[in-house]
Amino acid sequence: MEIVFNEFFAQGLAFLGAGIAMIAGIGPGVGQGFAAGKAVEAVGRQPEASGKITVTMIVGQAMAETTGLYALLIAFMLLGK
Amino acid sequence: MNELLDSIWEDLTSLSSNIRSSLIIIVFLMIMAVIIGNKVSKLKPNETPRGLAFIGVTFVGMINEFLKGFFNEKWKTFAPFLLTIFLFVAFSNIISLVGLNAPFANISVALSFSVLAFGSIQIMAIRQHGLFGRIKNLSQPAVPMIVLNLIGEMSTPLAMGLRLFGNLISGAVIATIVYGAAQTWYLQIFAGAAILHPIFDLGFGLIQAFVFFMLFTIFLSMAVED
Repeated sequence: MEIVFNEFFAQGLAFLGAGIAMIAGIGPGVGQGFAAGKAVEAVGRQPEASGKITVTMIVGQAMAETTGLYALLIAFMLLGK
Repeated sequence: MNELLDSIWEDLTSLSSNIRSSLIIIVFLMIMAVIIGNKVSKLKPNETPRGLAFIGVTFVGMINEFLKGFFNEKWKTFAPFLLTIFLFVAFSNIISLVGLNAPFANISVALSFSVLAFGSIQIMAIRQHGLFGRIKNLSQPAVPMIVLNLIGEMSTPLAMGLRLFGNLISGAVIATIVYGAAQTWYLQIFAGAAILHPIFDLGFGLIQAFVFFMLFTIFLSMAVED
């Protein structure tokens, strides 16, 4: 079969690239889960500090989410091609 | 006169929906601030505030207590500014509950907040240390490091704005996809009321507002008080 390099080919590759870009979603998932696990350990060790620990965990998770969001923005840009 | 009103109306209706809802939030917050301010200024010293005034007093006290942990002495200068930022971001993230588009789903609104963060942090740092003191701070380990430090100073506000934008646009896109995939009206109502709006508007929106406020506070306090 002969491959035709027309605009549909380029669009398909852009969609493929969007999918590949979202592999970066693994990173924030692992990072947020790790942070949540450590927070549970910390609450188990010091239950009276659970309020402060929760706030710190949520802020840290929101920071870790940033790289995933960059990948998402790249994926949206590729989808708009 | 009529032509002027017509042209103003034309300008307002041709705005992007995100910017229109941000204007609505600004007007709403101004009216609420005037009402609560009137109520609080009429209070007598030994009187317990009730209703809206009570909410306002408690909220301002909470923010002040929070800021005292970050700033050593200058918390009173920055508390009104940071409180305003927090209120605007929080209200604009939950405004899709009443059917308007979230302002931060538009990249120009999000990046204008990056510009705001960058400008206020730099101006306050220069006012605190003077221009030469600021340059000296930036070229801290050695003089050539000033390039890297400048990039670092610019990338943090940019990341703050892009984080807001990414969260809001991902929520909006997922809501659109789910509403399109749920074919019947009762499925749509169930998905919207039980899953989409509680998680993406109330949960993530308020968390992101708090994170933006907290990062702004941390960077401002780092710039002002070394």
